[in-house]
Order: sequence, then structure tokens, then C-alpha cells
Amino acid sequence: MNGPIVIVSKYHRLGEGFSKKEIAKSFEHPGRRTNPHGYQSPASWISDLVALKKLIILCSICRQHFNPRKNGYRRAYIPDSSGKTSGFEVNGKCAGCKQETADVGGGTGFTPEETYNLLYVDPVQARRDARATWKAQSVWSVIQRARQSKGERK
Amino acid sequence: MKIVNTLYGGTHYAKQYKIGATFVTRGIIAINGTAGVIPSTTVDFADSYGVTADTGTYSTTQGDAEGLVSIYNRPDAIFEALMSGGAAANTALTTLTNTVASAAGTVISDTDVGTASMANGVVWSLSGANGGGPGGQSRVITTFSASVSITVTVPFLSDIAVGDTFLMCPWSSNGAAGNGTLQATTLFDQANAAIVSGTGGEVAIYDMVLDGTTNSKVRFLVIDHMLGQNTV
Repeated sequence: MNGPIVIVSKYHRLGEGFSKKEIAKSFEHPGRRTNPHGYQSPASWISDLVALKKLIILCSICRQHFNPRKNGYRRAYIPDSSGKTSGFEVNGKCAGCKQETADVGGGTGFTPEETYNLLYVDPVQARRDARATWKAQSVWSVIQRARQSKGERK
Repeated sequence: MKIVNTLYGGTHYAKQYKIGATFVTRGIIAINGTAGVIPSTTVDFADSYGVTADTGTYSTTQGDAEGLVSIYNRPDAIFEALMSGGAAANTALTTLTNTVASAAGTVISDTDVGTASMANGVVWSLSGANGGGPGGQSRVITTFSASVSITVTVPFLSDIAVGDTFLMCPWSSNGAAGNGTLQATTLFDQANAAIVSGTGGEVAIYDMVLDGTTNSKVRFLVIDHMLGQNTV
């Protein structure tokens, strides 16, 4: 026999005093439905995200099943100046298995190709710009660099 | 706005949040709302969640899918916004063409400096003896005289001749009031560089890419963050 249910407020008064971190947690979207009455398969959920051109985060296992090119997506690249990651890692809740990607070998963010440049640095373009800057240097600095590298080869 | 780095390095982190208003534009700051996260205003980034990675439609109609938006939510994330010369996105910055020679290298005179005070902002050389584009010299603006001139305390290396061109913005990495605020453009995805220095939403200016009229950028951190230490 169960006893009476006693509700005790977490803070002084019911409904008040929630910290901002708790509020932020309450706004987190649970992802695809997995209960028996509203089950949605990972493929169906990811198809929905693709149709809405959403960011898709997948763990190291689930990303093997997603073809970004076929869906007009590409990997999100965010420079990591610390050098700890390649810059292609984005963690979060996996859209496929709903696990935290940090616990499943690290995550990858896939973003729609057509809006990539609104949000991310293009590593290829960044390299081109760096090379163009190098080429635009004065003749004197180029000679100095050439002499320096020649000295290193010796 | 682009996400370009983090202060402490490592993996980036994004989460999907329920929305309380429609997000039309990608790459904007999301803040706390009643029913979920909502887009920031142009001048209020309080209780921020970070910058959005996609868009979302808010609906109160039964049967519609619940609106959600993905947000890069690391409090130490560094974002980059294109400088716009007005409230509308992609407005070119106003080019200042010096009309009175300054042998001391401290005063740039042009009626185009306008009326919005840029004191504590930065002025950088676009052409002339002080260089141009990304290699041009820059100085913090210390005195602003509306529709007349701007003055710097640390002189430019070379004289400022008549016809030399410059650009200016209301931010600086170390100015007294120029490094703590930023105002977004109308669709919230760029930075309005035509506002009075020291006005707008709370941010920390981290860096600037001082280039031409349409490709200069400002990098910043959102300070009033839901996961930041000042909101515990």
C-alpha cells in the first residue's frame, strides 16, 4: 500500500526560485520521441531535420549511416586554437541514438551546405586567404623568407 | 554571425532548445523567453543561450511540430559579426576622406563622421601614408566632434594628408567604453557600426578584423549567458 504523496517545493515557494541553469535545462528539446505511443525511428527524425535544414549532430557510430553529400550537408568546422581537436568536432545529443556524443567517441556536426558560410569558417578559404596574404608580402620579406628557408635546408 | 573559436579551446557544443518565438535568421543570439528561447533584440542580449545554428517556426496550433532551434551554447564561445554601416545588414561602412592636413597625425576631418559619437571606438587607415586595408594602422578614438572631426591621442605614424581615407567603428579592444557593448542589425545577424560607442547589448569585444568597407568584422563573447557564472 502506497502512502500519501507529499510534494515538497525545492525552494521557499512553489514554482519560484529556479536558477537560470534549471530554466535552461527545462527548455532543452528531447529530440525524437522514443515512447511506445509515439516512437519515431532515427532515420525518420533525421529526415525531418534535413527537411528543415537543421544542424544534425551524430556520434561516431551513427554518423556512418548518414551521407552528408546526398542530403546537401557538410561537416561543420569551427577552429580550435588550442589544437585539442581538429575543429570538426561538435558534441551534443546524437540525433540518431540520443546519447551524449562525448560518451560515444565524439560527435560531428553536419550543417546544410547552402547556409554554411553564414555560420562557419571555411577551412579551404582560410588557407587560400593565408596564402594570398603571403603572396602579397613585399619583395624584401619574401627574399628574407627564402634565404631563411635555404639556410634551414643546409 | 559566425562561431569562430572559444576562449579555452576544445570541442564545441550545441543543443536543441524549445522556442517561444519564430527564428527567421540563422546565426543570431538567442535569449531566454517565457515559452522557450527567443531571438534577441538589437540591443538586449541578457540571459543569452548562445548563437543559433538554424531557424525554427513557433506554432501554438495543435498537431504542428514543436518548434526547436540548435544553439552553440558554450559561454566562452567567440562569435564574429560583419560590421554594417547602418541598421540594415550589408550596409557599407562610411569612408572618411580627410579634408584638413594633420601634420601631428592625430586629427581626421570630414563632415561624414556624422553625429553618433565614436569616442572609444577605433579608426583605421584605408589609404594614404598610414597604409590601407588589413595592413593599415589603427588608433583608438579619444575625441569626437560631431560632423567635424575625430581625434586620436596616440598619433598615426605618418602625417595625415588631405584625401587620405579612413574607416571607423564604435568598438575597440581596450577602449574605456568601446569594448563592452554591441548593437545588432535589424535581423540580428550583423553588427551595426553606426551607433554611439558604448551603447547596445552587453558583450566583451575580443578582436576586430579591420579591413574594407564591406568585409570588416568584430569578434566578441556574450557575457550575460544562462550558463555563465553571473547567472548562478
